[in-house]
Amino acid sequence: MKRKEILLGGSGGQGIQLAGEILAEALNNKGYPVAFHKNYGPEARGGRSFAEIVIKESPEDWPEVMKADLLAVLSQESYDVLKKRVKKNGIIIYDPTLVKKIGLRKNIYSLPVSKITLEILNGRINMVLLGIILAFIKLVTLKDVLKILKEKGNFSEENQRSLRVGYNKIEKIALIKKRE
Amino acid sequence: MGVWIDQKKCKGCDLCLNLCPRGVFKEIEQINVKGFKTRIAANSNKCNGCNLCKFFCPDGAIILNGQSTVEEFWEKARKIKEKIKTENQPRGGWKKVKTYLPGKIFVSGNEACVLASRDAGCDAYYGYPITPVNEITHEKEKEIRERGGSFYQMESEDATIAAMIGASLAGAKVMTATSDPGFARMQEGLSFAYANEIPMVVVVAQRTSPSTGRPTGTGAFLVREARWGAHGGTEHIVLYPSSPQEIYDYTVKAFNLAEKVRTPVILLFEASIAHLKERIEIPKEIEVFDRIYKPGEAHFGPTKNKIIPSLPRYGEGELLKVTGLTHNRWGVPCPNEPTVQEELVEHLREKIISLTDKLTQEFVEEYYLEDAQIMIVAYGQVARAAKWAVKEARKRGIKVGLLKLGIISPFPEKKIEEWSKKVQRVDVPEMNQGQLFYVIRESCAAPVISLTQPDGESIDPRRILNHLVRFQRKFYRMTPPVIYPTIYNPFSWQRKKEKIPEKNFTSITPMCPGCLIGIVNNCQREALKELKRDLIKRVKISGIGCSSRPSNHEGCDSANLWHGYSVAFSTGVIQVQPNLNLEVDGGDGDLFDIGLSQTLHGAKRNIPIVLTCINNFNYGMTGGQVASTTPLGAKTSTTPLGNSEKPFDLVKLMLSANAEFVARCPISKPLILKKIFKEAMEFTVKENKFAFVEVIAPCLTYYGRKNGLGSASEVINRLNQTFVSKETAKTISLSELKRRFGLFFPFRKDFGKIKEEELLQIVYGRFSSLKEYLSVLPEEK
Repeated sequence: MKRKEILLGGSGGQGIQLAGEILAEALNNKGYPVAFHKNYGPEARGGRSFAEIVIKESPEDWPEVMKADLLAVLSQESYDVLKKRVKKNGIIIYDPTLVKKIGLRKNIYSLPVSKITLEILNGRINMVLLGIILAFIKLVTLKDVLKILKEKGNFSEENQRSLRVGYNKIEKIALIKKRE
Repeated sequence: MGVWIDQKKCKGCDLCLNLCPRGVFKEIEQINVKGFKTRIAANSNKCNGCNLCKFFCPDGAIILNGQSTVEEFWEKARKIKEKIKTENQPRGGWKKVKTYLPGKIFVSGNEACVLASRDAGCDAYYGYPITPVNEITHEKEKEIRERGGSFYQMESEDATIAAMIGASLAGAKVMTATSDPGFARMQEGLSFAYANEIPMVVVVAQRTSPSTGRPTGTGAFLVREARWGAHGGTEHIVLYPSSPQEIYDYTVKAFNLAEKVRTPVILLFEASIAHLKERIEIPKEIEVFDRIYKPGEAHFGPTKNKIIPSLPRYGEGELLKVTGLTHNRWGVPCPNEPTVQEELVEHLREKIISLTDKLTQEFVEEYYLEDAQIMIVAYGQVARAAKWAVKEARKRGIKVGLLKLGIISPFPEKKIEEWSKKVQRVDVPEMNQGQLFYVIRESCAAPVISLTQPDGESIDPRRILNHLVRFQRKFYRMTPPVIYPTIYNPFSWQRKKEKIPEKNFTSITPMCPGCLIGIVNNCQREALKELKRDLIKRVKISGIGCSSRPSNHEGCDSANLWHGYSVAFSTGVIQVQPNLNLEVDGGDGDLFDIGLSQTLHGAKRNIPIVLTCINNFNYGMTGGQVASTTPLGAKTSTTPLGNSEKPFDLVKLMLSANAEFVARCPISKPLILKKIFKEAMEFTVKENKFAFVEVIAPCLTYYGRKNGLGSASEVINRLNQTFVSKETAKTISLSELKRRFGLFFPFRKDFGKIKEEELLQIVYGRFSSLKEYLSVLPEEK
């Protein structure tokens, strides 16, 4: 299938790396030739934390994101760095409480991920984000991802709840599309 | 009763003559073969058999009753050596082994490396925490704990290489993983390993250099050092995989080469591949080579017929004698024999150079080169990006091909020369400032273009494609001229540089929320304020780790150095400008593991600095590995079942090194800490001596979470409930002290009885002598 590139960005401690890794493993289990790459700063908390997921055309294809089809950002810093690495018509998902300055583009979706997380008991922001992304890319199902969580030992109540809420909310909230 | 002196060994030192109670020995007038006026046992009939002379002769020249002990041991050893020629079994050669996880799996480069080492039979691993290879250390620890073998997290990279050489000579296949700064420290040990032909594998994941650089960046900055490092000019084998699949394959090959050729093999790749997760395929069976051992044969080169010499283990009667001095085939030191040196060095070179053709065939790949007009020579991740670019460029009609180097030493000169004659130009993209292109240029019959990207980020394959397209458009026709020009970063390689606003110093530190290190800096500043010191004279010095970061964010002169040398650095500063006020901050790993020697010497030297050790009980910055101050029983990343060693008592260590101002304070008492800092700062100025302050500030993110410490406030409460001042310690009972100790280190109870001296570690205050420190404990009632 055609090459697909997904970029996740946030600050250290939000769990971006874990979300990216789980998505990559779910895609791999489904049989897609996927590559997962991490990029982070030296701070243990804060700073930047990016995850790149690439569904390659062949095993030898370049494994890092060149121009993403989908970008999800949870911090201003990561948006400032990653906005250049998205296709012109690429989808951008951002959290308006965490990312204030956003430029004019097509296909921008403002989703209050952190607010949704706070409404859930012990919610996990990375799982909510992952649920939302699943609803966008539709290549793997919620079941596939739950299976990965179980294998990796992250099958806690909070993670499952956050994932389901994120996935279901997409159908319920009105998507605010920002057009140029 | 025969007493003799071996005239060849005696040096006429007179110890026997003066110490013999019976006057057995006498001087003689002749000079022996070595040029010494020796002694003889003139009156051996007077000997009463007290044996003192035998002990006191440093050269073992005294022979009593027929045999000196030295010669006796040698004769026994030689007899054993004769015996084992027929008794010991020869070992080594190729064998097929089953792999651990055959099939297709989704792993990162680091994980692939660990799996390959397991399949290749590596069951000894020594390492040191360094980003980006900590995952390898953690995984190997788990594997060796479950499967058996040898694992240890050493105190520094220099120590790591030494431990590896020991393990290899004892018979194991051994590996380590490190990065640029660690590799630089290993060079002296590597030189020993090259000189003594010791098989081992050194995995290096390159981050951004020079110096500490961008620790989480990537790059190819170690290319030059990996090829040329290790004093002595030895030839090295450096393999360069470019994907997790290649990391698996090349690691197996690295072990086989190391054992077959008897040399350290360096496996070099970029940090971005270390963390890249992809699907790799592991075959069901692989071929593995074990080092050849033939009983009775010489242990080192040069050899007849240019075969690789046999390598026995310690402890099987082979008289395996290993030395760093120039040695002959049996390990006999020959520092005065020029011929031996020449033959040894030429053997070490020939051993590797003679493999060039075979290694070139195995590790160099030709891609679309048959009708190419332009050749790209690349290695590592760049080679993979270049493959993508070549494919795309071919679609646009550009006749470009790729020579992918999977090995950069011994260098495939012939292959490059051969292909360069057929093309019009050679492009060399690299993820550094151009470290291999010089070497490539020397073998090229065509003009060479160096394309550099030293910014610490992965190369974008579209940049290579753009360059090919734009260069072509400008219609450069390059025929090989007599003088081969080199072009650096032509217009086609340039890209738009972003306008980043100039970054200024800020007082905001990049620590985890709630990190207790910030409190130490607050106390230091308040102490300075009360002392009304001249702030121009303030210099803050730090090393590596979480405790070292704040020095970059203070409003004063500072130095943020490499691992372990802040005390040595301050020696230079304070000797040239004695009126400066130096504050040296460091973590427990930086000051008492890798820098232990420097710290103790600083105390002994009495340099007038205030050395603050912020003891957070682990290596925080790299992910919570064990340190020398980790309490017994505590969980860390490299001791997941609990640390099995007792920690250093830092106050005791510094008092033993003759420091006169030694204090300890928990971070929960900032006012007392401020007072201690004031006293320490005044002490260094008035007495011109060394002051040491240990601050107990557990790491919340790693050590804290693994050992159930809770939030920052909970830790402060716990410190208040457990630590006692030295005045209070004298008034409470021993059992109360034990209770508090158990409250702060609850995991300790599963690790044996608590000795009284360990209880001192929860006592705080200033101690001026070892005697005072040890007498703080209450009497047992």
